[in-house]
Amino acid sequence: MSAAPSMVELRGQVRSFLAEELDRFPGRPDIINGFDAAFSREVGRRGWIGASWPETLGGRGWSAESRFVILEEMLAAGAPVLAHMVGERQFGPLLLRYGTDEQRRRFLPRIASGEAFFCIGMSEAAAGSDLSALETRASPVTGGYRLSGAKLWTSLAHLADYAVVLCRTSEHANPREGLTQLVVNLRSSGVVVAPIHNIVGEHEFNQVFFDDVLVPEGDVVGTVGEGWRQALSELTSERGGPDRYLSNFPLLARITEQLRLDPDPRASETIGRLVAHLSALRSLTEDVAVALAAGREPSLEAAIVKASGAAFEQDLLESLRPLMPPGEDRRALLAEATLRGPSYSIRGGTREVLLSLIGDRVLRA
Amino acid sequence: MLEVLLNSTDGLVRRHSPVRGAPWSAELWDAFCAAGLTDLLAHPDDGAPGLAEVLAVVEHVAGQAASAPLAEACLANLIGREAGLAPPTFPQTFAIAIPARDDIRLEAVGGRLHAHGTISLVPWGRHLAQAVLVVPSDEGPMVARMALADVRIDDGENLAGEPRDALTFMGAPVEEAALLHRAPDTVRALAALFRSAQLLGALRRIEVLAVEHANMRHQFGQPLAAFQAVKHAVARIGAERRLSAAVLSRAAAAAERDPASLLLPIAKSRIGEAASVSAALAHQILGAMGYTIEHELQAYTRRVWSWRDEHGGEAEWNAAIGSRVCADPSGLWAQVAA
Repeated sequence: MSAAPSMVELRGQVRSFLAEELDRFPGRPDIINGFDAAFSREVGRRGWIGASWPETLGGRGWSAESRFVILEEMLAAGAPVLAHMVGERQFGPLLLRYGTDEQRRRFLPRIASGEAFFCIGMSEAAAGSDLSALETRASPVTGGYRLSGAKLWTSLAHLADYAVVLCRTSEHANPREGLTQLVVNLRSSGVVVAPIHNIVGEHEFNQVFFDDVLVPEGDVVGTVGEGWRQALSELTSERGGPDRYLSNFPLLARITEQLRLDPDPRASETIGRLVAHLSALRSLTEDVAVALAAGREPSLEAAIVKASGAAFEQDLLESLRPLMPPGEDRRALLAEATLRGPSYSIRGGTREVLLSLIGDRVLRA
Repeated sequence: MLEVLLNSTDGLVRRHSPVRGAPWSAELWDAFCAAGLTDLLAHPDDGAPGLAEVLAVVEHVAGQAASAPLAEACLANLIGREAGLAPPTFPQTFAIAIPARDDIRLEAVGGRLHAHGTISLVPWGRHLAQAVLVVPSDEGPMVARMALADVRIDDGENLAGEPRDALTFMGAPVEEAALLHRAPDTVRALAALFRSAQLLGALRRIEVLAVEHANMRHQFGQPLAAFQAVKHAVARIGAERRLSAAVLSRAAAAAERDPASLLLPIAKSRIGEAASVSAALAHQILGAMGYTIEHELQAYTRRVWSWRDEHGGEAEWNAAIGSRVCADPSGLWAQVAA
């Protein structure tokens, strides 16, 4: 057992690793920017995935801040973290909270070593913002469930090993009842992943069809019929992390770098304002990480990180635009990021859904 | 300790300041002085409340629209103590001369320093007997304790009616003066941090008023809160307040470690912007009722509209933050995640 490093030491270690070795991992821009299995394995080898999980389950037993520090250092450097991010951010914590010992032993060490990759099977054709309208169903059979239906907008399903699928296992007047979470091996017979290209031209999301797929009993996550409540708690970890506002940070850092010799007053003011917003988001996100680790469910704060983080991602792109004269290199940097702009306030909960959730909570406080 | 302090200020405000947001209550101020609140940060005792706790008190008092120069008294104590001035005998107000605006200077005559010229926007200058002023001299910026008995005072006020007076000195001797013991920029940043705490206190109350109104006021047969546009406005007020609280806690901690920390200007800029957004939304939610002078809302919105500009508004601090991060060769991330 190694002593936990201080946050300053850990930050320094991650920072030097990225400075020295990030160039070895160019990602796979031909597949999807930011997804690099080899990078995830290297990060796993260093013990930096699931670092706050118990050592017996592949983690290091470190604090919640350690995960926050590792992830934000990676994102700020533009490292390709997508392969291991969903498993570490959502599925791991879900299993720690609701999974069986067998499931934890089976999955967590492989997530932590960067060898098992996950995607989120929530949205469907008729269930976008209204997740409770989902129609994918699983029926009990001997030894498990038979799963049929289709998930839509499933990011990275073509590269992941497993999908965590929210499906209907019994019928009730209240559509939020009778839902169950299953972890589905995407290599199973009856699973078909069909690509959908986004406006950047990338293949990031997919439609995933399940045709009578056999899901073993041991792959039910948590309690049958409790899927809605479990998924809501999963959303707290999905929403409240630094990945919700750091997507465009490398762009901001490069432009700040290029402005070093001649920041005109307008540029300074723009950069200063973005830095102020970023710092406030970081502060609240750190609070969320600490609260999650203490066993609380800071769902309101997580939703604020998500909603305000998305607004920041978009505000950043529009604010930097006037600082970039046409024809210069900087403008090319902004071009692709601009095409990603609309996604931030849609994925992981639309701005409107999040503001309603936040509003309800603030009104009841 | 902090809990006790906050509770005692609650009681004092309730008993001695019946009218929310009145620009001055001598009775409340006397009660603050008697309770020792104006001595906060004056003595560096181990058991005494630290900067973060004092900021919490200042925030709390601002959340009751209690008009009193408490932030100024604490700033005067801290800056005076750092410079080596003797502990105060009277509660003091505090102001920083801005050379582009104020022509006040300290000049040595016969071995003693005297003040000449005007310093403007001194909070509650007309009501207090002493001020700690940060002013230029031939030796550089100095911290001077001045008696205000024989000074010319031109009354002024901010948008909330809080006194912001111009003091004109015509050769008055300083009571005590010493060279400023920190970079001049960091005095303004520290004063801005106190305003940030006050802004947060007011934002808390603005949120409560918006929530109460949205829940209680019915139109078209349902509470305003049932309308999505109103709910989203409440959500934004709640979000801005929580982001403000998070960044203020970091800035308060940073101020004790490193007075030059970027987090102090960051907090003022971010919370100032939060105040602008939230005051506008709260007025929209409360409609005509919140726009009357009788309503409590204006006691807070008029204050945040003033405080957001005092000791540097968003534009000024943003430009300062931006030029600092651009000039630093360590790169942006190293400065953001220092």
